Amino acid sequence: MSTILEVRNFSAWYGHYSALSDITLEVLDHEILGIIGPAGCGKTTFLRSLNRLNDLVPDFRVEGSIGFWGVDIYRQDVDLAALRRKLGMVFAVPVPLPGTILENLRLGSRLNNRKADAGALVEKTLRAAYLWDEVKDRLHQSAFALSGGQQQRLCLARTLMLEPDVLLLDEPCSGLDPISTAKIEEALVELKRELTIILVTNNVMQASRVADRTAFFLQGRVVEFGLTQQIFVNPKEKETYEYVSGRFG
Amino acid sequence: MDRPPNERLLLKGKRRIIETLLETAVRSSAFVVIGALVLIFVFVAKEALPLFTSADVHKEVTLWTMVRPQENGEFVWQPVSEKPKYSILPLAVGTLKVTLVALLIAIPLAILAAIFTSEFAPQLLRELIKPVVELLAGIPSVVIGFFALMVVATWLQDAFGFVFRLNAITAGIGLSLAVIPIVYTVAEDALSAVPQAFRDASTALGANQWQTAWRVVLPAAMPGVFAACVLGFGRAFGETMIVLLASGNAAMMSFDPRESFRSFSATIAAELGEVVYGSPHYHVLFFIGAFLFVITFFLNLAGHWYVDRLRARLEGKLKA
Repeated sequence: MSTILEVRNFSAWYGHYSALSDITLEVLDHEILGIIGPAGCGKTTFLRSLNRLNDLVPDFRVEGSIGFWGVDIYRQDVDLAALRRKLGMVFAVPVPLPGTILENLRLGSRLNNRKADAGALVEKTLRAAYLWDEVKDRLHQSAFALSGGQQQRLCLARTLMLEPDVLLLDEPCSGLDPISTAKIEEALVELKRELTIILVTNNVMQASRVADRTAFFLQGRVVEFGLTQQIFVNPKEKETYEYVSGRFG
Repeated sequence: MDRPPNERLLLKGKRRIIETLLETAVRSSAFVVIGALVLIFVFVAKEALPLFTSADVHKEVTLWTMVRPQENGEFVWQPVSEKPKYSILPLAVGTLKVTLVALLIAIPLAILAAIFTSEFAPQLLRELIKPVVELLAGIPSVVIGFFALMVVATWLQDAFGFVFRLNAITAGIGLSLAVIPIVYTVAEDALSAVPQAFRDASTALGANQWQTAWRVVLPAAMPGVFAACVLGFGRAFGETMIVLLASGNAAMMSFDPRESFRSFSATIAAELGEVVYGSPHYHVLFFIGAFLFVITFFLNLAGHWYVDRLRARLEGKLKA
């Protein structure tokens, strides 16, 4: 498998607060990379650095490089809209936007002035997000009328509408019931065939269920990074062992 | 039998009495406000009533003669003359004209300014702009009126060569200075209240700042922004001093914004001080007051109804 994302000596700060220090890891094409670690360890910052969403935060600055298909995404001349289309993101809290379900789905392509055949894509992405059967008869209803779990799957579908290469998931199941969680996990395993997924999760078991490889973050550093099996069954570092076995965090 | 030990927790003590007293005080304050409002309306309506009931008044003016064309087919407001003429249509046209001009200027400016401050301005600038615009609301309307009368009128006449120095454009610009801070501050609050998560989500979908502001934040804040417009309309419609000073006060039946006019509110302000108590003219002025009151009330009601509808649609409780 080829490398899609290559993170080299990447550090990040919010003002004087150091959020990430010296992260080096690479993400392979068509894998699910799980990122685990206690609250405040920099998982979300790392994820939001990958699509440069942290550019919105005042006083945020970075060092090092992140290569995406070999291009450093922190170069000055990067088209941020195109970058964010290629690295689609789903947030911890479902964020349906004002408008109908259909309008939510089409927002991404409308923003980017693509008049592509959205109709077929709508059904495809809704099916991929395991939502089609629940909403096919009410695409013209407000997205706010959906349940929390459905909203989150809608957000997943909305991101898939961008046809990204990489899916960035920030604790996508944190507020969801076990059934919705299972549906999203099923969707992720299916989606792996088409794209690469980086899954930040507070739920250690979720990483062990779906991730191919797992990185354990602690205080802004990567403590251990390897095959999920190895991280969970035979961790090299003491902190990793303590975290995955539930001793702390 | 002994009382249980936690008696004091169960029974009303002194503390409860104080709470009840405070509650009553707070509750009565609310009713005093509502009561004052109702009494004002009752007073105004009572003074307007003879226009409908008194035969003496009907000799000089009726509701019908106030709206129908006069003998020579004209609509004239000349309440103090040999033969008093009471057509309210020129006043209605004047009020409409100036309100329209003021809102056409104020609403786009205020909303765009609100979008700029909440979405684009750096923190420091935002903290400067908002209080300054809100300060504008504190300028007495007589000062704004004087400014419109002396400065704006001259500029406009120099620039466009208006025949009438004081006209609906002059007064409308003055009036918009009073409306802008209201619309701005309410709209800005509504826009700022849109959760940051919406902006993040929109940005993550590849939207730039403009697209996020226009397609995501503004629709999400629409109920509040519309409520801001309703408030602005109320202010423009009822504002007296600016219009009194800058309108020229000529009750002309003309829709042309470049001509002078006279509004309902300015008419009351100008004439009520000198009117003969209990005369037909007196009752007509009160009728105009009641009319302003009722119109403002119902437009506000309609505005609120529409805001609720917008909100319900946004939250998905209403089928789109």
